[in-house]
Amino acid sequence: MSQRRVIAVGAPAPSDSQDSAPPVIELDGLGVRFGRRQILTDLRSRMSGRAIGLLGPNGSGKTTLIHTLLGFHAPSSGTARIFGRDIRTEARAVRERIGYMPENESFIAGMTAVGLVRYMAELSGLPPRAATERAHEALFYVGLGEARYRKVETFSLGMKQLVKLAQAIVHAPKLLFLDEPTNGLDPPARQRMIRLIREIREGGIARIILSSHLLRDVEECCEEVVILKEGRLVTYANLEEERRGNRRFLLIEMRGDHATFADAIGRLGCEYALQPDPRKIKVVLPPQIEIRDLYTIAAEQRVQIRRLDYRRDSLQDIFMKAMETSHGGV
Amino acid sequence: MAVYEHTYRAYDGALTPPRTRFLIIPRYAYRHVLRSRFFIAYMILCAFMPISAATLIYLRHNATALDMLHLTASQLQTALPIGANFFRFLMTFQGTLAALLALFMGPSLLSPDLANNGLALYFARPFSRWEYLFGKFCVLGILLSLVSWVPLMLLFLLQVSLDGTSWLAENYNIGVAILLASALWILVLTLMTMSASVMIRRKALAIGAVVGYFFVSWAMSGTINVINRTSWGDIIDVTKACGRISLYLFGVELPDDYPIWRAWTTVILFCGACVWFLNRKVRAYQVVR
Repeated sequence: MSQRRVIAVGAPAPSDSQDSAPPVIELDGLGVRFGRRQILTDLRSRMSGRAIGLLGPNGSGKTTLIHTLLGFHAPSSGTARIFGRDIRTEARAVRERIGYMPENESFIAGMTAVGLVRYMAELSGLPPRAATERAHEALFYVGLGEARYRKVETFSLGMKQLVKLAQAIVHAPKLLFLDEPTNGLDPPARQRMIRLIREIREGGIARIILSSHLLRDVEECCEEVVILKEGRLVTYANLEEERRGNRRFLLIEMRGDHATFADAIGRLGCEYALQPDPRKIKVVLPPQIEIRDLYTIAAEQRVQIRRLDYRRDSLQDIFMKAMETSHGGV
Repeated sequence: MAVYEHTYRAYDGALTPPRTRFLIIPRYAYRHVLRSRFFIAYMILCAFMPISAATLIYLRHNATALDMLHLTASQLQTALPIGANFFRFLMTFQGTLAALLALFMGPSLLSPDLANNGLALYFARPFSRWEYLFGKFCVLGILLSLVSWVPLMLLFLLQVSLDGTSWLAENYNIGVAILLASALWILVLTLMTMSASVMIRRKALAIGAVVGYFFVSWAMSGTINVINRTSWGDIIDVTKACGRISLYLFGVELPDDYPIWRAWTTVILFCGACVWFLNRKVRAYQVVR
């Protein structure tokens, strides 16, 4: 059965004209302390992207940051603003604009999926009729339409994740906090979740903050990334710009005289490193050199290129660089 | 909007007023509760005594009915006077039924939300912890009202309508006593069972804890009183304190060794402790310090 999949844009998609609008999130010296433990320290940043990845190793403060922005924890110093509204003084107004998909299993026992999502929509302020209508829509949207009358506790982990997403988007928030949305999902379920997140991003209905320790998820969904380490913000990067500015790497597997080939590409201006396996060579490609130039040299040197792995500087590289920074500022 | 289109769209309709959103909690809770046949049967049982009392009040004022029963109004008034004691007895009876209802319903009020991290879903919305607690309070508070002060006030009004304003002028304190004593008892029962629900996630154990509290506080206060030859032990027995306040409100003279301020202190301390505990425990996430 073919079904239309439409993302009707109700809210304006972000554009250049929004540069004058307040940033999605503005961290202004935000600090959080639990007893004697300092969890977040002097976070400062302005985030404006459509989808922002929140990265960091376990215990770096990603979830605490989200919880603080949601008002679950009071800041011990500084503050933050979401769409220009202060989380300390305008917490209710902030939460009216937010949808939250928690990391842990979260549901109310004894409720069906549609009952739970409708209940959450009503608590967000939707009138009962609109809440009912949107609960059905949200569940169909995430792919749980057929299972919506089943009790949530009978769902698989992947389905529970989708219910959490449905309750987070049911009231059409302007900002979505997704905390580890692909946790525990098998590859097809993970792909479905990633696709949904990208659709929401592209639809422009909501900005997204995606917290994850899975770099691939963030790389696939986000345009900007914030990296936390030990409660400090060590990197705030625009992924596209980073990729553009970063070098390209090649791992070439060949047959023939690799030493002659290496000399030839060295003369061309490429950095290279011979690998323990004599058939392989690692090459850093300068911006002015194209891959076809390597094939030309290989042909001239009578070397066969059997395999060529090409990769740009990945999020992993950005992340690893950030982790090497001890206490960096942005 | 047709759901088969798998459409997701922004919402630009009106929102409900924030001040009344806490009432969503009781509305959803009652949908669940009203499916229980046991609950319906119990509520019918709770109506038995008020209906019987209403019949008595009616008979007391209906000469034809009294003639048919070969009774006179004065005989009936002598046998069963309708006054403070009549309403106090009814309040004690209905209060006991209310306690049983609270015991049955209260322990499962909050635990399902706590057991599955449901609180984060509530508090990530424009919905505060106090609204949540008040909403949950209303779930039980409204049901207990239906068992306690609502039928008693209806009886009181029936009596006033049949006996006239002169009876009201003499006995207005009964109405005040019904309202205040019931409100106090509802407050104590609801806070106690809500706290038990937060403390113990399993319903059976939570019920056991509440029953245990009633028994242990009664036994301990008695023991302290006997050993120390005092009445100060009563300060830990909130049930007794509520009973004393109720007697006081109905105009019954209290013994000197149990002044009313001590009963009030017990109730205030107990309620304060429950509110403090609920405030500490009902959070989206518990912080490990």
